[in-house]
Amino acid sequence: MKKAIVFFLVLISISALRANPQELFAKANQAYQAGDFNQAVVLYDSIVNLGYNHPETYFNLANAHYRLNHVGPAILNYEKALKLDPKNEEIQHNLALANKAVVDEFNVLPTPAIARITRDFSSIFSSSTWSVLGIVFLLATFLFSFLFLFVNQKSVFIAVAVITLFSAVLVEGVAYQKYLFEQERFVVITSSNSYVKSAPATTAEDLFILHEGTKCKVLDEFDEWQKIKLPDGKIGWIKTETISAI
Amino acid sequence: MKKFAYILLLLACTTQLFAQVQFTAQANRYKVGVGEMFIVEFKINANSSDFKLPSFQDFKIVGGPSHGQSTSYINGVRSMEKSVRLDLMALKKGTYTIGAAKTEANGDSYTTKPITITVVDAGTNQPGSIEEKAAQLVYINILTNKNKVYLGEPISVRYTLILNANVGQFEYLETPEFLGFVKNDIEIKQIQTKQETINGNPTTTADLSKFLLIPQQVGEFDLGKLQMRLPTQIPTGRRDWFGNPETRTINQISTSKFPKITVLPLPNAGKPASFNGAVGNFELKTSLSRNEVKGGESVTLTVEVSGKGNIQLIELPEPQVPNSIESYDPKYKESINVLPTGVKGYKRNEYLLIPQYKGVYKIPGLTFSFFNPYTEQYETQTTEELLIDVTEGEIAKTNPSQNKPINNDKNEVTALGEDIGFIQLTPSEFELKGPSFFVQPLHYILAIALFLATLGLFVYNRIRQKFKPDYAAKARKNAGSNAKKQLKLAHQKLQANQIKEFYGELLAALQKYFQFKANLAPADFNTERVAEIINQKQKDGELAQSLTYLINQANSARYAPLTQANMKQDYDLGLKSLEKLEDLL
Repeated sequence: MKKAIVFFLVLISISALRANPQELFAKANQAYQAGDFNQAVVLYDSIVNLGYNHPETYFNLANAHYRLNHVGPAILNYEKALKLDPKNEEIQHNLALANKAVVDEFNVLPTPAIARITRDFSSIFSSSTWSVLGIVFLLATFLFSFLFLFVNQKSVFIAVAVITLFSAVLVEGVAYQKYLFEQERFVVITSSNSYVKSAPATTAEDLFILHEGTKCKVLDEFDEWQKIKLPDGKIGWIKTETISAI
Repeated sequence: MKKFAYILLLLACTTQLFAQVQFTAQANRYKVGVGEMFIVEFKINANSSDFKLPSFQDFKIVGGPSHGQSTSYINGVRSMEKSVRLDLMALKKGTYTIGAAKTEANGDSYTTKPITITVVDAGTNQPGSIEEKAAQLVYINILTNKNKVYLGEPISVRYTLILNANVGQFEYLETPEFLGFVKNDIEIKQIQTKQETINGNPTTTADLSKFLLIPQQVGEFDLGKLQMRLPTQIPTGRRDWFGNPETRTINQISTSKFPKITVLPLPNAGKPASFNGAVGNFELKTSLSRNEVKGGESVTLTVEVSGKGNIQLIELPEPQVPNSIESYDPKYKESINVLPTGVKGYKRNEYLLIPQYKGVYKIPGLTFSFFNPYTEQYETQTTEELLIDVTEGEIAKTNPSQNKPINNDKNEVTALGEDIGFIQLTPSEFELKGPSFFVQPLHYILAIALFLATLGLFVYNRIRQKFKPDYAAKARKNAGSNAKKQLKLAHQKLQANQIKEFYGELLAALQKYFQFKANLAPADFNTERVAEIINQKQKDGELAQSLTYLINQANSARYAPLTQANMKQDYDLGLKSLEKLEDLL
């Protein structure tokens, strides 16, 4: 019986590879509504495996995991969805609920105002959009310079050219900052608990224990270990197998 | 008859004596050894209300004062006697005086005569005396297991009474003082006698007191002595009326000096960081009641130190229990047995742990260090790390907020529970996103290209501006040769005898020469300007005149055609003027 189920699940996942994402999404939703969360997880996962970075899929997958009491995967997928759609209140709400099941608690360090402003401002657009904007400003600089030099030496043209040049530099800078933020790697603990060590070695001293669902930032990696930073500023090394990247 | 008369006389005397109040002080011995006891008795043969006793500061009051009273009737005469008895002990060698005692009887006050006591060295018991025999049969002894110990190493001490004869109610007179030691008494519920062999002789002994001394300071210690009064019953060798052996009680004082204790400091070499004062030979053990539990079930973690040494003073190492496991205050157990060779036992903490969350938790190994006085080295015991595998964990659920105040007027919409939102049913566009445009080459290429293009515009403009005066200079340089070429054309017209064309070419040659050489606009080409330019360089009236003539001649030839003209002369003049101009400009 168990074998048959596994076979069936494998069959679904194989057929899923051929199916288009819309169909899979609809099927997964049906499974979820029918209360078959295990199958819903398999189906949503198959969409992710096709390479789609789709916020709704992550969100629904997280919901299915939540229903199955998989705290770690639920939080992981909510975080993935939120990364793609940072302003979505539904994701924020569900994530907050899932986080209540997390054992670890932190005194979050206050962020300096300037860093917060930079982060908020850069998050208006994606780094791609910021980059396009930078190109647009550079194009404007070129056009107004041309007008000034070869058509009419009006001072307004050169003024606009200078302003757009500065804007282009600024916007490219913001694009870079935003790109760095996009490149920040966060992970969620997916094993039930994990010891964080002082160095990337099993023999190193245990610093603290993290439990399933805790999110932390990755600073570095070495062999099978990731150097992580917790919201309260603690730093340590954790086994890669116990975490999953957002 | 004579005998009778004596009796009568004696009687008369006694009655006479009885009539007189007598207050006396008496000692049973006037010569005593140090530490020996004697009795002082004050007697009055009248009814006295109270005795004012002298001070006995030179002696130790071992017993009393005990009051006695006796009444007797002799020949109808009532006589009364009151006494106060004190048991005193001699403390120091010398001669001492016990002062007078005062009392009142029948309205008169009486005093005793002072008594002089001579205290001599102890041990003055005559050989073979009954006192010596008593001291041999019954005495006290201080037994220690060790006299040379390390700091913190317990010494077990026993006060043993050797009793080969019966002893009455004994009394401690002096006990050693243990400054620099911690004394731990070992409870003796009932003093029991036992048979031991001392110096090959079977002996009855009894442990009066057992305790442990734990040295707290380094050094040599003289702790004083133990002194006891032992009422010893010695058989006199005679038998009483009923044939039982007759005994006599000797109130002997027995003294035992506490052996000198040397406390050695613990060596500094190799002292481990976890050393906490434990001296002895110990073993540290940790264990879990089970290794696999479900969340919410309990596990007992036991930490035990057992062995021999100053186990009373040791502290059990505390285990580091992960925060996510609930840990309660430990249940403490100890068992300490004091043996003549030392102290043996264990101390044990039992922690009740209740894990809640799923996972494998570690309880790090503990270390316990102690100094082993037998090997004279520090030793450290380390236990293995313990693992608790919590197989089924709890997932913390938030409690529905039900304790809200009831409002009668309105029903506030209260949340019955919190749950995650439903899944999203309408998906956004499924798109396979590549890396950010920011890192794509097109972005860099476009940005760099546009920047360079703008830069290029300015560079091009600059070059254009820079090369403008260069054209003029080139034209200036070539002005002479060009003008000569033009004059060659004029020469052709001359040969063709085309007057109007000849002057046109001549004028053009001059005009272009001035345009390029002197930067004179074609519109400004007239005789005044030309003269002005030449005059700026040189006051050569001739050249200016020649040019003015040629220009006027050429102009007039163009507008009013000349029929007759000395074209050859004008050509030569033009050529000559041009050469002069070349030198000049």
